[in-house]
Amino acid sequence: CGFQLRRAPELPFSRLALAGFAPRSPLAEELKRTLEPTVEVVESVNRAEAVLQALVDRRERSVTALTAAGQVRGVQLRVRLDFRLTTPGGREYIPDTTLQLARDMSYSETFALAKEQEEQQLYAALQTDIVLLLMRRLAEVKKT
Amino acid sequence: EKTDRSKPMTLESDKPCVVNLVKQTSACSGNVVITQGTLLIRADKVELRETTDGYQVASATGADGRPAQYRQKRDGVDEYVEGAATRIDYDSRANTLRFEGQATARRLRGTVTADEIHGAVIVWDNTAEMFSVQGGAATAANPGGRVRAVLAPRDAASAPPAAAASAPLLRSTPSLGERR
Amino acid sequence: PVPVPAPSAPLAPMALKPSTQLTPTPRGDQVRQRPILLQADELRARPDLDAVAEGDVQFRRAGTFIRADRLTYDSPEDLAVARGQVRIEREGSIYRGPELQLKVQRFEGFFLQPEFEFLQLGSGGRADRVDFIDSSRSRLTNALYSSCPRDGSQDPDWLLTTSRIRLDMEANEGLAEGAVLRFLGVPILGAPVLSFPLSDDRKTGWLPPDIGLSSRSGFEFGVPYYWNIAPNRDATFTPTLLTRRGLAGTAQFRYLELHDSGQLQLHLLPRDRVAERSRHAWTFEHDGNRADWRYKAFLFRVSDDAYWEDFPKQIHSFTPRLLPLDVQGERVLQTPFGPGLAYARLLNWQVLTAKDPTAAIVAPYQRSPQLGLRLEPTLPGRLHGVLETELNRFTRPSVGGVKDDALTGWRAHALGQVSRRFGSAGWWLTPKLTLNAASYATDQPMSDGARHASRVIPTYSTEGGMVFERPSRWFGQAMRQTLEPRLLYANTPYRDQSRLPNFDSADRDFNVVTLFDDKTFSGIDRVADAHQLTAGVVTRLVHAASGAELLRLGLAQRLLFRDQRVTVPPAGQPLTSRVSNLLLDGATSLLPGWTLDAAFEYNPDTRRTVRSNATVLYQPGPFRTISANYLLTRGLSEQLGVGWQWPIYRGTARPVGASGGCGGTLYAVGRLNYSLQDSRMTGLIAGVEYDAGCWIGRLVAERQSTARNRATTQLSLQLELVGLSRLGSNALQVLKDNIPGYRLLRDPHGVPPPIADPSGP
Repeated sequence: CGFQLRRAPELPFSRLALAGFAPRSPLAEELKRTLEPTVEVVESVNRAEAVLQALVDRRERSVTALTAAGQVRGVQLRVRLDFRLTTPGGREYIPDTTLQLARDMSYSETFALAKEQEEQQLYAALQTDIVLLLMRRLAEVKKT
Repeated sequence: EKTDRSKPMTLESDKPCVVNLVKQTSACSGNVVITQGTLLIRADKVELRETTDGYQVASATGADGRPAQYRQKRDGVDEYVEGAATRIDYDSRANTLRFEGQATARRLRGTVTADEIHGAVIVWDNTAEMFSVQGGAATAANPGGRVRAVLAPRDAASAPPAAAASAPLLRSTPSLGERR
Repeated sequence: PVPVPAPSAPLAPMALKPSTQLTPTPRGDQVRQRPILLQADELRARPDLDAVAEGDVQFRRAGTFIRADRLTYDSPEDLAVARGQVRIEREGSIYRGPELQLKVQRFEGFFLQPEFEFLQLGSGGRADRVDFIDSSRSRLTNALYSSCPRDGSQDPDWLLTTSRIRLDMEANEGLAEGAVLRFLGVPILGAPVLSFPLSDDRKTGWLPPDIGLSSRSGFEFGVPYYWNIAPNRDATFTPTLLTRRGLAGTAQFRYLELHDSGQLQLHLLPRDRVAERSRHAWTFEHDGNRADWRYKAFLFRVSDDAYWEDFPKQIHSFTPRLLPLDVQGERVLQTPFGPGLAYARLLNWQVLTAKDPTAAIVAPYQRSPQLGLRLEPTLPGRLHGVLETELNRFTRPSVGGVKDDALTGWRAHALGQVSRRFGSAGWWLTPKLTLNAASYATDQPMSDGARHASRVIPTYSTEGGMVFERPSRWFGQAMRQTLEPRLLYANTPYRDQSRLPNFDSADRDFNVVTLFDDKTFSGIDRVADAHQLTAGVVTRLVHAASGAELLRLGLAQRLLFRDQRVTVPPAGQPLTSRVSNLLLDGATSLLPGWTLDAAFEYNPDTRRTVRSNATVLYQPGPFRTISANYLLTRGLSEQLGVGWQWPIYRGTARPVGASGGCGGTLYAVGRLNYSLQDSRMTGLIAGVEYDAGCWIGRLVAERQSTARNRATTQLSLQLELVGLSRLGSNALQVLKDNIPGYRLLRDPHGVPPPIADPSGP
């Protein structure tokens, strides 16, 4: 039915600069690891062929369920990345785009230590999905 | 300077001048250079007329993109006034110069441009030492057709040359071009 | 003849020199060095003496721009006299009037009958006269000031009439004397002296009062005093009168240093008339990072257990009744084995009891201390290794002043992992071996009487998956559909851990992340025996042109070849069924503006969904968002949450302000949490925001249930006069924290860039 194995997407640029990420942001580090085999991530903008500018790189957390007695029972974890991809000169490859994924997690104060670790795993999974979504967008950039 | 008017006026040009003794006029063309003391006019075509009371009236016109040019030293100050326009009229009796057509006038302190004025018509009154500038029709170089002027601050001479004055530095050629 | 230097090549028109940086506007005597740029219809200039320009004159020098019908400039005096529709612009403020006399460099002079405007705030007004003192200070006499439209069509909604205003752009402060503030024609504030900020920056001074109404503390009226200590430090002191409880005070100190930032907040109620005792709460948050060393602190402490009910606004902790005292630090290491991370932490809790015994909280353990080292050793042959070793001392927090008798003690554990990833873009296979070794030294004897125990449990797992793609067309658009099968086999031998203490292990939610993980419980203390295969498939619909994922559907289930006998006390049950629940989850944003996200956990034996969770978000444009969240956990809870920010009345839609909020629009904002199970509203925030362009009115009611039949309702009123200040309690914070997708009506960072000096004509 027409399915073939996915080939590695050839990105239209070989040197990419990351800008606007917080220092040591986990998302930026995972993006670098994912890009490494196919694209060289450079520090300075003018050596790059394209610049990935992060406008919002945030992990959010909000209470979604409270019991009648102030006990937290539900938490929503969100990872959000607003970005734009431009040439070093500023011409747009990809306009301002928001990538946001959320996951719900049950919560109980009694298992605070365990839930803290589960939360980190969920954030890591959300972050990996955001990086995959971003890689798909980068793969579609047409080198005009 | 004021004394320029009393100095002899020399005139050189590529082609020989057509002198009309009756009307006391001479018309020359082809890279014409007029000098009189510190006054210097360079143009493509010049028509010179001697008035009855011994003053000269010259009108110099540039051609195909090369405007007529004028340069003279100001009185008692190490400053020069330069100007360029498609047509320059010099009246030594009124001691005024009239630049017409994409006119640009510039006052230089030594080699540094102090003031620079653009307009349709610029009249430089040498005795009153005053520029009078009229706006006019829009032109390629001056789309608004309005008067535009950059006046340097008063004591810029003592201060370092204003970095902002971005006028290209004038290169002075070592000597007059060899006449053929 | 004397060699006269001939003029150079024909005079090229002025060429602008590209300058890479934005040169700041010069100040003081530097201004004298800058040339004057003049444009006019006619000009008569005597060099170094004077100049007279006529006809739409534009005069520009070093950041000052003057436009007038006629302008004379006297060079020795540096005096410009302008007449006829004069408009002068300097550093973001504009003055218009019939006649101006000004010493340009010292910017000293006066203006008759000026109108003035501050670009940054969109505010301005009229005055009898303005005297410019210097380039950043000026004085207006008998001035009217407002940020509402002043085109005379209708009188502005709010207006500040003053006898005198002194403006200092550098200190960004406006000081109005003899000020009367009228709101919709009604004088609401009269002050001999009133100071207001000239930009969004912070400014020392009394902030407008906080007004609120709470069912537990009665009417609240607080007047905050803001002290702008330094650009990176500030403090706010808020004495507050609570009609039912007496006088309270809040002090907040914030700092942002080179490596450290944080805040300290103290809320003090010396004499609470209702509780007849003094009450206090303090919060300390700190975040610091040096080159490779980072440290954080979150300390919350309250004086008594009923604090979270009486003062919900003062509790900034994520869990209102479990307040952490958390100090942690970590350091990146370069060890001979590879990159490493050493970390240390102290985590204690303050647990607040509730009056209702059924709502008591079984306290979690405390880590005091936790010391750890994490290594990712570089192994040969593309093997990926992770080694985590930790030493923890687990203690019990005191609840209601008493410590329960649960086990406490030391635990040292090592978690080693070696894995090797094979594969390319289209497939991957990752065998992994994990060793979980832990040894315990408890203070009290364990269930079998021993005080020491240790165990090592290996886990072997292999995960594999493939990604297939094919082009397809849906709804007339070129798409790419993917099919991603995925398998995980995990095998862990059974080790009896029932007599060992359980400090930090717990069951995990049933979702794709936990299903495709080779360990069943979170934490270290419990390692479930496993001989199971998890299978799943995901299909995605990706928009070919933009690469955006429009639809994702996933199916996953776990097959257990052997019972899982290890459980987590107290309520864990061994798993005996051969097939786990079926997980179906998906998300779609096919319809523009709509996003739907849902997950269902279906139990094949009972043929019923055990847990389902669906979220719908409709966000067609800015300031218009509705989100609904349904959460069902069979037999435990069934919650519905709705959040909204929606314009319900649209006045004359004049886009105004940096964030384009339309003038004259009434927005309904809020969030509702309803428990379907006990058909009761567990939380409600409802409010209205009226954006009239130059002022924003905000009325927010917040109701939070604190017990089965008791709730705290909190009403706060806020009036924000754009360009003057915010009046009323900070209802904004409540909205920002609780409504997903809520967007500020005035975006604070919509500030225009500084006006650069156009060097060169």
